[in-house]
Amino acid sequence: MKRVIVVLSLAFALLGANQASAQKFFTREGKISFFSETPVENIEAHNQKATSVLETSTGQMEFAVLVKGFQFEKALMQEHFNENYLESTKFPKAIFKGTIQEIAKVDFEKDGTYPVVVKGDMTIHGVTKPVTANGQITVKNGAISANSTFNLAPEDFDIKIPAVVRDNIAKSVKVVVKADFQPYTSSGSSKDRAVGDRPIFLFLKTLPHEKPYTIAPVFALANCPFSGPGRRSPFAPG
Amino acid sequence: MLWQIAPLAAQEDDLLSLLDEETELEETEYVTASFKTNRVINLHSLESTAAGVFDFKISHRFGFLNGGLYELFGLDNASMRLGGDFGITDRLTVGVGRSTFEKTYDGFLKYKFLRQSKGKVNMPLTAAFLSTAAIKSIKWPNPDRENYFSSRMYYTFQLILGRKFSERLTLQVSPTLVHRNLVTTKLEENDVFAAAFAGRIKISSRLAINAEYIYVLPDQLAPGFKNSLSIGFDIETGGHVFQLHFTNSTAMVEHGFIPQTIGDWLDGGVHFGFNVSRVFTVVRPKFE
Repeated sequence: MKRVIVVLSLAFALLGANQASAQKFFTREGKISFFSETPVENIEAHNQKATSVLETSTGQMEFAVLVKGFQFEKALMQEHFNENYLESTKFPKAIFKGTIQEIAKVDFEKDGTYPVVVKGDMTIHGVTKPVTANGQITVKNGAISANSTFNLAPEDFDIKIPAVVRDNIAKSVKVVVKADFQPYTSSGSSKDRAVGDRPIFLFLKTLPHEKPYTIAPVFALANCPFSGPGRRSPFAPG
Repeated sequence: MLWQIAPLAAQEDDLLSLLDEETELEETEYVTASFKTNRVINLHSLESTAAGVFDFKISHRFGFLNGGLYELFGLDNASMRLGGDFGITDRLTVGVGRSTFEKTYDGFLKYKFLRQSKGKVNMPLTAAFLSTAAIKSIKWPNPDRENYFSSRMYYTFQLILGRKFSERLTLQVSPTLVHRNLVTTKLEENDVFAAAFAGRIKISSRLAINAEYIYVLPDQLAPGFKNSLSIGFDIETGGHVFQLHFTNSTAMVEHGFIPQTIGDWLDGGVHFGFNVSRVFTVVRPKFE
């Protein structure tokens, strides 16, 4: 019984802490899609792994997405997108940093849909341009989600399109963004806390990232189920 | 409790810095586009055909350049292969083809079991296993003799190990075994071991130089057979890849260009040739 009380009080304490600091919201599963429509062909691509952070007190908002994570209908299109147009090895991420205008008008405590205007800087292909977009913030049972649709011109971001395929790619590409946020808690008290918030990952963060290539993971993985005495690799002869 | 303090201090200026590093740790980024297509020139490259994609291949080798003006430097003759590759998954490719070389039908299975990547999984190289079978359907030169069907069969097993060292440079090495049920003379081995080396240097986003060299281990072939050496360009235009090259090999199937190359580079025994690859997306991936 004593233990139950301790657990409960701990849970309440954490819950309380959670609400008090719940001004930052984040997601790692934001959805970003884009659509290029021309009489010749329609192209669309989807990315389900956008990272976004929203600071509800100031209206600051950031999105980041790995360019390589966009999935196309055609594998070759995807390759061309990465290799020839976005040069994703050179410029791996697309980033938006902006502010929701008149954030005070959005009541994050009350259910509803709030139209908003977001202004900020979009960085794609290493080029940063100011962008203004209309969107909506939806609050439902305390959960916050955001969506927006806006247009971008590949030309503005110095994305070169050769004359042969000029008619295949729209001058103005429609971008659709959707994000369901969850509270960001640095202590990781939230039940839905992300894997990356676990102490082990935060510890790993302190280690140097530029690890030399190593084959160790495969062998470690392969060894795992067989790790008897001597940790014999299954690839070893005999 | 230290881990609680560190991110708190960081979150003041840059919101995303909270998530940035974690994301990098969680994602595995696979290296793509090591070669323009799944062949280097004659050899299989480490690339697979993407899942649901059909890759139609037309390959030509004209006659030897040393045929001179009379043969229009080889253009009067052509050896060809028509084929199609299909990606069952992103790792497993199957393909079939028909060559004029000895009227050969061939088929292959190629499975990529390691993928070069960085991030959560750091894999230094890509590794694939290729297994091919070919049937020579040309009429026996000596029909009076007892000829077995199995004598028409050829098999090749190849391990393809490669790495994209940079955006420009990819190298691969392929230990290879070619098995021939029937050989012409006692001087020749039924099992031929070879090491194939290949690479590409990307010049621009649409142009690359490829080269390959196949070293057949000594004392396995009759005199007169040469190692295969090929050099060429990959030119990419939208849905097509054009590969233009010079090679001393006539055949475009493994048991042909590995142990049966007769052209001599020093003597002008070189073919001009091309491969055209055209991809069609047959099965489209589903989106939510």
